[in-house]
Amino acid sequence: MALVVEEAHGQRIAAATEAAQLLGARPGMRLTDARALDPGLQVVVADPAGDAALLERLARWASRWSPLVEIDGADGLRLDASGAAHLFGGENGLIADIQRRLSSLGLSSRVAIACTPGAAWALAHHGASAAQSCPVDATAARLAPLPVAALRLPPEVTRTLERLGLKRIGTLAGVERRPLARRFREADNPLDALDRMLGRKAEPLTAIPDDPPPRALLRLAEPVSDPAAAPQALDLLVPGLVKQLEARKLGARRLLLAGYRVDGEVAVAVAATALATREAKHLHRLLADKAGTLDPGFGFDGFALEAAWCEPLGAGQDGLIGGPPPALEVARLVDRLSVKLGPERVRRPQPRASHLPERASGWRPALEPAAECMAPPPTAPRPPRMLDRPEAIAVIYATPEGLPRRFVWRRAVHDVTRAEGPERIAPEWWRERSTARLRDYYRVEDREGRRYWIYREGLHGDGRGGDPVWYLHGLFG
Amino acid sequence: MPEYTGFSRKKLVLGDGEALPPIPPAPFVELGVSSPFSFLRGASDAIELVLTALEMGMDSIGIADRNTLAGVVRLHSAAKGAGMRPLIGCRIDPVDAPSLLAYPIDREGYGRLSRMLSLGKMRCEKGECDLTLSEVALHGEGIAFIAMPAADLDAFEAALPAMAAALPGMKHIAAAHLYRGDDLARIERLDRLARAHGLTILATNDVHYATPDRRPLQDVMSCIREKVTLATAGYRLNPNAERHLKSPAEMVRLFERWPHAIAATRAFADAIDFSLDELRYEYPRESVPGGRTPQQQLAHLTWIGASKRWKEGVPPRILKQLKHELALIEKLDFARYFLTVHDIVAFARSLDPRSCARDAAARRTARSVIAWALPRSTRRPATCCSNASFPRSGKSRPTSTSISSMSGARK
Amino acid sequence: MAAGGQRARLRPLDGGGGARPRSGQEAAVPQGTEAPWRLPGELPAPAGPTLSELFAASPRDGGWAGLLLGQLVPERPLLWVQDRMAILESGRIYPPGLGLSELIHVEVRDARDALWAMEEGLRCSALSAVVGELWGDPQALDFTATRRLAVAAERHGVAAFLIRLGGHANLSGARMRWRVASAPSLPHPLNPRAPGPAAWEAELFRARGFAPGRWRVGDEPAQGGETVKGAENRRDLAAAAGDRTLAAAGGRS
Repeated sequence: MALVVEEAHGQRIAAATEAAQLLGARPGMRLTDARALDPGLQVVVADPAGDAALLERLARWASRWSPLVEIDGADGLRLDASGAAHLFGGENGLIADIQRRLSSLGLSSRVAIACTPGAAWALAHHGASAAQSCPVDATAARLAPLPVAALRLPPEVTRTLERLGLKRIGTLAGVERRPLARRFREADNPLDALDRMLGRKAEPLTAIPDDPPPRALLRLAEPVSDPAAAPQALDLLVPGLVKQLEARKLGARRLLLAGYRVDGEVAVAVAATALATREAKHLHRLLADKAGTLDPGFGFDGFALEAAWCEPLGAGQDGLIGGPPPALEVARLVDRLSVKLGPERVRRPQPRASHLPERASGWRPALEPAAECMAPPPTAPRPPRMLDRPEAIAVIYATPEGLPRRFVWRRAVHDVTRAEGPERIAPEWWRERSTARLRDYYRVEDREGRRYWIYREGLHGDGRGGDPVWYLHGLFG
Repeated sequence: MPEYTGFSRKKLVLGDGEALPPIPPAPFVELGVSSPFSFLRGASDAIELVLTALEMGMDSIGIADRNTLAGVVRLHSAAKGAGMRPLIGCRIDPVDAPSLLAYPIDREGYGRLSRMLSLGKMRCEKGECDLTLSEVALHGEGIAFIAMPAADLDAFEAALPAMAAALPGMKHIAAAHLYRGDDLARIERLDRLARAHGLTILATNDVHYATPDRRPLQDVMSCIREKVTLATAGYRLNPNAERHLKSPAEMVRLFERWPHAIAATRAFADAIDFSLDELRYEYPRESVPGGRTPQQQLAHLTWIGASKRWKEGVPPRILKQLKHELALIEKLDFARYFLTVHDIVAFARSLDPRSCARDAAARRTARSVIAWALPRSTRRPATCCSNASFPRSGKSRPTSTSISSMSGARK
Repeated sequence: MAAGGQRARLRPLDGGGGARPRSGQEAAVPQGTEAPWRLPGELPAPAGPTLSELFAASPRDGGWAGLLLGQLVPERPLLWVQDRMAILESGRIYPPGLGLSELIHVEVRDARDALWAMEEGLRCSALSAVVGELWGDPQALDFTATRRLAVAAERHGVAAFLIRLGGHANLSGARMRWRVASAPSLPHPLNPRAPGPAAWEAELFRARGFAPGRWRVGDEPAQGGETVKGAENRRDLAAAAGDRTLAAAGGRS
């Protein structure tokens, strides 16, 4: 069985099973050639996009072992296992866990742990055994028998090395630097690559990884498919996370509860807070409801609670006497409301400096900080309620600028007994279309005493349209 | 039809220079006008304002720029060109009181107003003017004041008694209908306040531009003044475009409930008896030592200077020219001008010996031998001059003089 | 309604047309407590923060908001919950017209979420009050729900106001139940054609410890300037005697 990709000159083999390889098929070979060697070769069209998607899912799932997972090439994952190995009983335990879980997903894997990413890659791809853990001092020895392709250099450099007779890393290591340096560009110098692998030189352009975020892990001995498992896991994980936050003097702004399922999927619940916090009760309350809604699928076999976004937080954030300070209490309320209803639904007023009433007062999610705004000048009174969309009304008034006398809103007639205005607000010409018309706002009161805020859009003869249209914009109290 | 003559300096010329028929008096006169000489506030220049006022049937228009009289000349000439009567005034912003419109009623009042402004400006950096209410009151004789309330009427109400006490000649409070929503209530409040203090409200539209379509320009000017962009200007810009010249009929309609406010503008305009035409340039008299007329002094200095320059004796051609020019100067009564310049140069030379005088008519009068003869310029005239290069008879307008010193400082 | 920033001083326009407190109950806010809400002395007020229910006379009548805002303390934050239909029918709250310094606004889909949000808010004693607007007669709003709110309000000392827009008065655990309608405003001191200080007709039709009654309430600008000339157009309202039956109470809409 082989996977093929379409190319300009026919189909080429992208990958082949072991059985197919035994019969002669090689990746890179043209299909016709392979068929010549093995007429019974089965082919399936490769699906690189699907493969990439699967790899991404796997990367997310692989975060059960380490928070720092990167996709490496088309078929590999790179994990930063520093600090994670001890949770699985040492490096060998980690390797065993990885292999076991991946194989339970139906994937065969080659795993290597080494002191540098390059060495790990080399050992994983070209190493003798499918799984090995390489201690630091043994790195050079283990790398020596590997082919130079394991250095991960550009193909032409590898070819050159092979032609020069340097087929193994061990032979390369014995060569003098200067002749090689003359032959290759600096970026491709194989000895540099070897140095990097051995940890003698730093990897260029590798981003220095930030400190991994505080994280508490929970592994289950057996998969559990009860939805109540997640809240219970949360109970167990929160204290651990809080301890880490305390140790690092951080407060969480964003929490992530991940449930790792046996089928390779991850169920995630997220909560955000307005103020950094490490108060256990609050953190627990934020995620408790959502944890219950995580879908176990075929079962969870691990959980992680991570503080995805943290801020420095000093000690003693809570007022010990008399309860927490009011601002904190309100922040907690905002957090709770935002988690359950969604951050977009819990908002605070955000004033903007604009004369147009609907622009003068905007809203921002309560979790976000406020933006500065200049103080508004004194204006005519504003209504406590405003319709999101002004509704068109029919008005009887004396043109051109007479006060409204009577209007119809939602099929009911209102006789205006008192009116004040107009308050003229001209369009913001630098923003709006040149056909935008001015508005004359009136405060009107009808016979029963109901008070409204209506406006007439445009003037007769302002050259921007026909007759002016009236709208009802707000209700006064 | 009005025409524009010239390019760099427009001038309003109505008709073909014939006498214009007088415009019948309109019920309303706009007194609160800001021209571009209110720096970065007024958006329409004097000609535009006058033309718009003319179309609306106004017979008279005022000008009140902030803390300056620099714009009055343009308005005066534009209004005269259109057959309207200009009213000269200024808007003063005292540091401890609300704004005031100041319209001098007579020549002396104008002089006091100028002095007041100079006093306020000399204390500050360019563009600022620092006057207190008491200083305004001190120089306030012969000036009619109008109080100009800002948006906050409570503060104005609190400050009004002090103002009324300091300026007994202030009889009016300006009221504007600016479509703020509560205009009727506001003007009614001002009316009651005025009456409580024995004053009257006076209608104005706080004009900053001639027509509503100038609003974008005025907004941009405000942004420049406040050093912000349009997008971030926010409340610094006006919400509407109502601060334009409004016709008498429109103002009468807006002030329907307060016809006395409109009548007050008419009465105010009629009471002003000052025009810029009354001003003539007067040279200081001190530069002439006792016993000689200015002409005699000039002749004396000329001969001394000539003998210094031509030590061997003045050439006959030059002599003839000098005599001719002296006669012309005597006829035009221009001697003081030269004496003044001579004094200024002498002063400048005492500070910096390398100064030389240059004036607007120097291109013409530099050719004047007298100018050369007087010890004030180290440059030879290009040629011996002829009549044509001397100021034409009949034009006794003063020219402006500037003196530059070689070190670069202008005085 | 005064512009944001001016607190209204509410006072009944007539000499108090109705309820006297039953014996044993105090009409005024007890001294010494920092009451986050206020009612003028003449209007009946509960002894401590609790759940009050306000029925708007009509969904197109925003008068209740004016009366309510006059009772709130602007310095402390407020939680205002609106359900979706309330926003569509009667508008969203507009902060420049409220005069509050700190406000959290929550828009919910239905009454269940609204009640949950209100209850969460009541647990936060830093708030001055929690206001919840509900449209119609939702099923989730039953006696138990309102009773929970009332208990939460009393326990945590945060006043709760349940606003019913277009709803009927069913059985409720609210301690005070009002029906509020706009009334023609007081004369404007400067401009007779303009609406003056706002006025409302407030009917207390069910209260624990008070007899029902009806008042005309007016809004007096709190600062100097023009004072309101006495309410010339008072109508003498007969005090409603005794309790109303629910059917009669639910008749006005």
